[in-house]
Amino acid sequence: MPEYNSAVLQELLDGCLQKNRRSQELLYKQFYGYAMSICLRYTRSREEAKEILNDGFLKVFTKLDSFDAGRPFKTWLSRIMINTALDHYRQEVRRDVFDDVEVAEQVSVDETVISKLSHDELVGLIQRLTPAYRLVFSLSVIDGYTHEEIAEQLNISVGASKSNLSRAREKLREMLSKINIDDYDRVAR
Amino acid sequence: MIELPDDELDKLFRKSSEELDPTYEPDDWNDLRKRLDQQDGRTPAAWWRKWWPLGVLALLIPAGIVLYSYEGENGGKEEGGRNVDLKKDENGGTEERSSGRDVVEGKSGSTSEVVREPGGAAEGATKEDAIVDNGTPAVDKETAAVDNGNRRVESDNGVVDKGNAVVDKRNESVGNSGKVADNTKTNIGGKLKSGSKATGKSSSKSELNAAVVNGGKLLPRSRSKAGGVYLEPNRSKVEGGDGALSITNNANAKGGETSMPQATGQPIGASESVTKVDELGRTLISASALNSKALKWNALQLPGISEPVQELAEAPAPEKPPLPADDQPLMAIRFGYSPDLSTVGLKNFSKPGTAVSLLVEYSVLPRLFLQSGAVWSRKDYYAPASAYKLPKIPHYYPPEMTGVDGICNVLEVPINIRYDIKSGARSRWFASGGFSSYHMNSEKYKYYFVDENDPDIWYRSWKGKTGWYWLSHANVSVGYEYRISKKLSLLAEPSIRMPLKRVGYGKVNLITTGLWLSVRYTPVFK
Repeated sequence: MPEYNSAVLQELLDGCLQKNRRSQELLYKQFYGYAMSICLRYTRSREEAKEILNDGFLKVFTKLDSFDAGRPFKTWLSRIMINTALDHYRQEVRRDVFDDVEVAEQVSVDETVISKLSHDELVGLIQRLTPAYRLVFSLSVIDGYTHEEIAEQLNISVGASKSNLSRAREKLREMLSKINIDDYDRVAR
Repeated sequence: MIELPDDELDKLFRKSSEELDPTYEPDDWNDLRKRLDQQDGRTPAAWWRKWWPLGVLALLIPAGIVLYSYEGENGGKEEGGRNVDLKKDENGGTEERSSGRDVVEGKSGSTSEVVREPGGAAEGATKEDAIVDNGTPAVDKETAAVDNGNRRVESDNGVVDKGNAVVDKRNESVGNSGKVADNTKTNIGGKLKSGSKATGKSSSKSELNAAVVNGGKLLPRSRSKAGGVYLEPNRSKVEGGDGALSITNNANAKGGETSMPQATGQPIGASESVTKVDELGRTLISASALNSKALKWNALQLPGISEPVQELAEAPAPEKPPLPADDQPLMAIRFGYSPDLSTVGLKNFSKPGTAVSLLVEYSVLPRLFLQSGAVWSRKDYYAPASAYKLPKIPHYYPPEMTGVDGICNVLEVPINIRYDIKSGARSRWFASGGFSSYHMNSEKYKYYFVDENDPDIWYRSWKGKTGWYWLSHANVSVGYEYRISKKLSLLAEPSIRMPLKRVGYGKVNLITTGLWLSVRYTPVFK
């Protein structure tokens, strides 16, 4: 048995394969934070993230038999969550439901909460990016995708991917500049 | 504007993303569980969506049988006495096939087609006419003789006229039915073909002439629905036979021996026409020779036929006798099966268990039954922690639980009242209600904790039995019963058992739903 899939996890996965609701619940609970943190940085709200999270877990439970137990479950789970988020993004693009790009750019950090800046708020800054910037930034910076892979996933050119990444960073800097530098230091430690 | 290099900025957000740990929201899981339940068919709606074809089938099959029976009964009513005659003839034909016809074939080498004329003056035209007419099924054959070329026959010798009178006496509706059948023009050729392999030349003329010349001695005959009248074996005692199937004997003995009409349930005494037949010397006729010409009636060049031969409708299949609707069962026994959908709080359905029942019903009033017996069931359910009361163990404070999986084998003793809402000849709608006592034969529980790794978890499951819970549930059901015979019937009965008190080791309020599919046997009637 691979060491990165513990015996407990393996037991849970076996239960999930048998559609045991309790095993599914425990697996969900165990990986909720990890999966939700992925979903949050690909969406603009927690509600949207929850939708993707549950879509992703539904895929996990229904396609668990295709999981290679010789590989880390976390990696497989994160790939499913990211793919689900990308599917969601493509559907949104097709339906053209995104807000005007500038609307997101105009959102500013509430000055009163600067002192409480935390991981939540920093991820919140990512969520405030426009969908195109957010996805490229998350894929490239956090999840380690190359620009070629991003271009293929989002059906854009490599140049557009690089450009979006650059602009995403610029927007994040703008938003951070509104936050007290001391708070930034505290978070960055 | 903060002037952070790209790699520093990336590091900042990467770190936040990786270390972000959103708090668990149980509602998120509840939403997903609902979706999973729907997908796995564990919600009542999903369960019905999954199993409704079986339920529909369970209702449609008896409904179809009822409809079939109903239409059959209606058909019989519309055509009145005709059906009665058809039944007689059909029975007669069947009997005749197994006896007389074979013997005749054995004697003559081919199927005999004999016209018997008491007066001995059977002309060719008359005989052929009669043959054609007799080529029609059973009673219709005689009817055809009445309706079609009869006048011609009458004018020749008046013999068939007498025969007609006989037919009319047997049942006046025969003539009417013949008319109806004439209009339908159902192809009977196929039936004739299958009736006999021996086709070809008819020997009717010679045999008839011989019969006439020899003093008009009558050979026994019987009729076939396959077309024609066949000679029966010579079983006349007078002629050296054993006397069986002899119409003459029957006529004289008034039912002393078995004859075709008697075999069909018609008393000989009442069948004066048969006697009269013999007195009048009716002609024996067979139409087997027409087998080879089955589909070309009108092209048949027969002397003496000026009108086209009408093809008559095939006699319908024997009708199923209606069941007496006023039979009141005094006692009945039921054996049933049902999927057992047990749950706590009408949600969290897990996979259905199994339930079988053996019940006895006793009629206390014409439509009211007292019902009791035993139901064995396996209940597979999930109870949330709030619904499961873990028995207290001194000095032990168990960690917080999320829920319990339970598998219980339960013996249930119901006491119900069944009321027949609507009763038909074969079907009944009923409702029943009452109380059940549960005996927990075996219980297995598996506990789930918020923190499965909590060292305070002393035990994760429990096995045992907790015995009786008297009158712990209220039962309600409605059902449909279809009688397949006087004593046997099938039932489909959706039911629900609502908890009146908590049962089992964890004292749960267990709700059970199901669909009883039962067989009911009624050995005793009032």
